[in-house]
Amino acid sequence: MFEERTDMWEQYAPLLAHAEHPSRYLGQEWGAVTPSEKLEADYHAVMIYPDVYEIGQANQAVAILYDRLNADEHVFCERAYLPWTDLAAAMREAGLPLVSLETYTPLSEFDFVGITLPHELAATNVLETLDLSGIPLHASDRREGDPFVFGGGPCAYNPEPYAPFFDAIFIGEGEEMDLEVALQLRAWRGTGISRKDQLRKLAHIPGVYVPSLYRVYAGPDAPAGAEFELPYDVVEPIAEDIPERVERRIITNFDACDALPRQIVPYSELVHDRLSIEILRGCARGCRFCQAGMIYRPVRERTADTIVSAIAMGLACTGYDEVSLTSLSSTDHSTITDQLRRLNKRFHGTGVGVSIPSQRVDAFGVELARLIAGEKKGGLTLAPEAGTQHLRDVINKGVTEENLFNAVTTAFEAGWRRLKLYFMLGLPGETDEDVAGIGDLCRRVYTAAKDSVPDNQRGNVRMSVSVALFVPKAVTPFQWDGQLDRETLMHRINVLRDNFPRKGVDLHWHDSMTSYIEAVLSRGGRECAELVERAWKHGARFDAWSEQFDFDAWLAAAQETGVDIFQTAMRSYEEEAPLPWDHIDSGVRKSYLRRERAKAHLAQTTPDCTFGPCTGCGVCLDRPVDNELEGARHV
Amino acid sequence: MSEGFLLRVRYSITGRLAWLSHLETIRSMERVVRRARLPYAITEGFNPHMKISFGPALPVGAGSNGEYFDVRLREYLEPEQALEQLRAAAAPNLMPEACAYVPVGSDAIDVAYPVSVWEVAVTGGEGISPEESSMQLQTAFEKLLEQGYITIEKKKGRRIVEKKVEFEGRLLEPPLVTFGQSGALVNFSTFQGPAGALRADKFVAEACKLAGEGFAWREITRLELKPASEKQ
Repeated sequence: MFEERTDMWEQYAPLLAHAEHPSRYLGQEWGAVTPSEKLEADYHAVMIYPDVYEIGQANQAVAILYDRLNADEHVFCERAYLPWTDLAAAMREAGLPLVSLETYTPLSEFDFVGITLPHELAATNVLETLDLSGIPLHASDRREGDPFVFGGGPCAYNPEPYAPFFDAIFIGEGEEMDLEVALQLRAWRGTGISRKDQLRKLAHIPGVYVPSLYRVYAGPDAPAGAEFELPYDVVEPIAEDIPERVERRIITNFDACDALPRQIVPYSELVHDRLSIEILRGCARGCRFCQAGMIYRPVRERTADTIVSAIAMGLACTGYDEVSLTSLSSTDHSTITDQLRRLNKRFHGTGVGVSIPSQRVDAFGVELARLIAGEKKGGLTLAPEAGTQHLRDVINKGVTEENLFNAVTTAFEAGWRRLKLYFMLGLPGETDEDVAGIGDLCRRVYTAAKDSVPDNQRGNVRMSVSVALFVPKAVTPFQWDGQLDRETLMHRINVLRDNFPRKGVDLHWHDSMTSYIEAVLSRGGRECAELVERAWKHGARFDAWSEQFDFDAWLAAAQETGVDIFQTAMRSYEEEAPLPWDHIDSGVRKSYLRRERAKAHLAQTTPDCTFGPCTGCGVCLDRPVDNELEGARHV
Repeated sequence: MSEGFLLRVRYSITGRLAWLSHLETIRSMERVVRRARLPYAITEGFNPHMKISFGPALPVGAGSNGEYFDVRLREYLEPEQALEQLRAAAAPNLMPEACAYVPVGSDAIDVAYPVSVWEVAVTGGEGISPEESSMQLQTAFEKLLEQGYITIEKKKGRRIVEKKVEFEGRLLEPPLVTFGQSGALVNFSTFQGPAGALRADKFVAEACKLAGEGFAWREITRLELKPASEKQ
């Protein structure tokens, strides 16, 4: 059944001689799906991560969806990534379209084109992907026979800045949804149902948002916004049969989902070049700035047996010598100590390394780090996020100075010599004292670290501090809060510099201009889609790469569209006003977010429901789901 | 502790995997060894890793019929068995072809096999016959040999520095150009000694430049790595 399609390898091969890192474009990796495995497949899907191979191939979500789609004999799912600027230019000059890695087929020949939306700074890359593929940028310009273009991922929780570019956007976990949609579309093929009608029917599949079936009332036309000070967007379905709100899909019985999706072993060195096993999903710590902590609830742990056996099988079938136990808060897993002990025993003397991407800020976190590292202690990274207890309570970070100092002294006494701390500037409720507090805290942490090591090793203590500008995100208690204006931001940076230790600690901060763009796209309405498109036309792409980020392109786009980047980023919404993403039901209740914001104003904290009672976020109250823990968690 | 067994493996790199860099080939082959579950030895110390070493680097874009790596094994495994396991764990275009034990302490591969035999397919000049292309290319090589060196650019930090690479001591057999249906074929061999190697891709590219517009290498293959005793 496998249809012969256009294989463009021969046309591409001569371009590789001049491309940076040609191995990005080769495909044929160990574990990749081959046409010979898919002889019964007649439906062609391609999953795309809109960045270069080394970034995208490491993405676990794409790996899971690739695995799920290929699990069906009728579907052949391939992968594609965005070529770097050098090859993109050569492709345009040679008139070559973007192709899939498995069969070098032009993306325009696929039935289903899935693009993940991993972060706001990938927005222009979505357009670059479509343009290089020769697929019309706007869903409204696509005709019968064109591929369906679908989006999904964290940015889908405010889909409006992407709305015109996608036929549909998937909200929530795609394990079941993507295949459901693919098989439905396959079933409709040849039935004569028009593209438009197919999309209308897809809108009834839970989790599927079809932007063209929703209209935006903006500005003074917004019926519900008239009573508010500023004009607000209201997004409503165009017909009664279209759901008013699109419910996020949530996987139940997470432990039963395959912990080891099909593994592709790359030739290029990836950003995370190791076996990754997702040991749990979700985090209920409730940091008020964190979108991931809201949109992946409830917390679902895999069993230690599932995890250890997936790791053993994964290492054997890939040949990796390192495994990462991934999740938003791996050290919170109720059986993490047991897992690490079993892994240490099993892989002792084999050269296999174990790592955990996130670290609890307390002595228990360091104990776990010690279990992982053995004698090999690299750097330790901790994220207090704010410089004073008051502000840490405002953001519900749940970290006390005692936790931090216990972690630092335990770590340096145990042999660590390098420490990195993460902070944010511009958090709601922040004052100059909080910013000065970062400097003060760093000074005391540095002293504590030096005091925890033998005298002859004090010179080896290294500490660095990384500071990012707060970006308000949809579906968080801080979704209503704007960013700092540039003048105040500069002032706060100066306060930080003036109060920062003069020597011994390195200070780095992120480019604030990219943070403003992130804020615009994380909370903007459908009008931001034109901003993205104009910025792309002015040359913006790979915005997450500091050397490629072109703020002038964004300013030019802002000028043309009338979207004021700074005003939009700084804008605070009234709590009762409609928000551009109100038609997306993340599962977390708006009333919970309001309540959390009110508690932030009072610097009151909310405990983690996996350690104590329910905090009423609504996910488990409104859906047939619950936290799935393997035991009591370590407090 | 036993010093173990040193297994020398010959492998090929073909098709599009010719575009792997040397480091990528090394990393991939280490993963093949692990997937093959060979009883490999690991180093002791701060950062334990597989005891494995590779022969001289291939230029990016070059394939090969005969590359080598040495892997130290803790236990003896019949070479045929080792090869079977390796081949089952390898991608078709990066394929172990043969293996045999050599004494522990044998010369490293680049010392044992310093001679590289090359074949390069070259696309001919536009609008001229394959015979004419071959003659033009042969003349270009003769000019280049008269010059006696090529200049290559090397990145040193942010700077790009030029380096003169002389043929004396590095080029063993001078290029012989023949023509086939799809263009010219160039055969030559190089010697890699303490002074370094002559990069086959750069050497042919320089000749193509002298030959004129339209000339470019299309496919480079290291046919063989040979011991120094066969140096001519």
